[in-house]
Amino acid sequence: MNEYKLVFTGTTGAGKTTAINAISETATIVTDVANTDPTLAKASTTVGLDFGQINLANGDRVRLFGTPGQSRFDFMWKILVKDAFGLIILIDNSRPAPLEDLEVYLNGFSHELQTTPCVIGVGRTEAYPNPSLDDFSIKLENQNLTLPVIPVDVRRAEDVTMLIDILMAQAEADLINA
Amino acid sequence: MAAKLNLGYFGLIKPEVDLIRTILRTSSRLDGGWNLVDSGECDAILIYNAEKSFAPFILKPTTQLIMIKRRGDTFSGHVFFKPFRADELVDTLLFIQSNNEPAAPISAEQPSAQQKTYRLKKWPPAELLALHKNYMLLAVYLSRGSKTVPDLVTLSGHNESFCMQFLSELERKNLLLSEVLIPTRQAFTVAIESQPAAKKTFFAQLRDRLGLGKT
Amino acid sequence: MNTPEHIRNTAYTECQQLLNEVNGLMAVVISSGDGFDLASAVSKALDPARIAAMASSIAAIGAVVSQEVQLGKSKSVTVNTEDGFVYITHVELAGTSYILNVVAGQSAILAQVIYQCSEISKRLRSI
Repeated sequence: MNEYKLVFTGTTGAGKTTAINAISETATIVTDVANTDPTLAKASTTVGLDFGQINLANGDRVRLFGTPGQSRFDFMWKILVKDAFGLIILIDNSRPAPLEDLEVYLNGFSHELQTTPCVIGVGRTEAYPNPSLDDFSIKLENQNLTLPVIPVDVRRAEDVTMLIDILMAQAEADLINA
Repeated sequence: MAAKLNLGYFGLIKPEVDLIRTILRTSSRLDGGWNLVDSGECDAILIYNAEKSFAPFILKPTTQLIMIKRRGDTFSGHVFFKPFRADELVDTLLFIQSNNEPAAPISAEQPSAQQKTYRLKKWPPAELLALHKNYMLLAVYLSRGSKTVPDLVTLSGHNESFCMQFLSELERKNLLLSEVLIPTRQAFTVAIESQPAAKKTFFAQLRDRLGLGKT
Repeated sequence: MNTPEHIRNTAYTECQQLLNEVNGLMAVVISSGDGFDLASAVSKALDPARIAAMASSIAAIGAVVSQEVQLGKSKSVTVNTEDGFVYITHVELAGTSYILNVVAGQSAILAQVIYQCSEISKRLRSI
């Protein structure tokens, strides 16, 4: 039996916990606590990790981890992303500076981004079309990265599975480079 | 006109053999370019449940294996999915045929698409990806290091002309970096065979579990 | 975080006192459940903001572990290390739950830290 790890990171309120909930088979373990940061419009926030699981027919398991969003928890990012098969960065486009938000995670995971498959999921793009998806791509290009930038609603399981499909496609493409 | 190519078969039942014979005869795209043969040398062979020997067929070093799989299974080489769809077999045979034709003389200045590698400079804008539902995955492949057209065909399961069409869309938008293939690079089929088996199984299982058929 | 000044001051006094009174302590930090430091006293070059964030993660993980194994509410987490220990426990301040985090070197005694922390907890609860 093999275990694989998939990590969801990104801004608070972008829906990391929701995304894991949407596809996990087991009750999601959540380490949310009351939020005391007045700049965040939410009642609770993840400080440790979220954890869900998908069991595959052959006994393999996919462990789904969500990181805390804020960069003061970047020590948890390092712990959780170790040996991950893929990284999903979720960005909330309704926040004041989504492009700067993205940069925080690109820097925080810069080492992993050299090799680990990664996709950027941008939420609330319909109500908040700016910055555009192409603005994110330009930002990535400026950092010498070419990563898929996909509009998502993580409440929908099919949107979350699409992100995972993209990670698998990246991994398959990487095998051909080997 | 080029000589006809021979297609063998292994492990198929008679109604399936009859169906394939009919496809070869009636496809206007194949234009009678393929014969279904019952023995001897073949240029490609359809295989269901592979075994060590494919007697009475004789496989040449260049013979292309087309594995028969269930729809939803994943496989990285040539594949023909059950339930059968004629157009898919025709796509595969045309692709094999195009690789089988003697290469045209190549000028140093203008290498053919086959000899070039392509890489995305930047993730394409949503409007471009919206042109076809399968463009996104092709873009994903091109975002992970340089790829040749045969690489894209292998990864995506789409035919060469579909991949080329996407490449030209990208080129038009100046989103593509291309360079001439370094001759030492291993053939893509070799690289594919060396994929770690566990990972392949994992992807197949996870896609199955998430209800993702590989397009 | 809008904590009244007098509560913040009380918390700070408690941190400072504990650091002074118990031998071998390197840092005492009181932080919110979501990892912001409310008050701290350090004797070594340690960043209270980072300690606060880590303490909230550890406390939260401790809480889900105790829930998972159905052993009641998590009260504290101790990280024993080669050269000391880190003790993390819950305290209540003016009706709000906070995390008290103590970083100690080799010369500190765990039992003494646990005792002092429970005393602090009692005092803070009565504010």
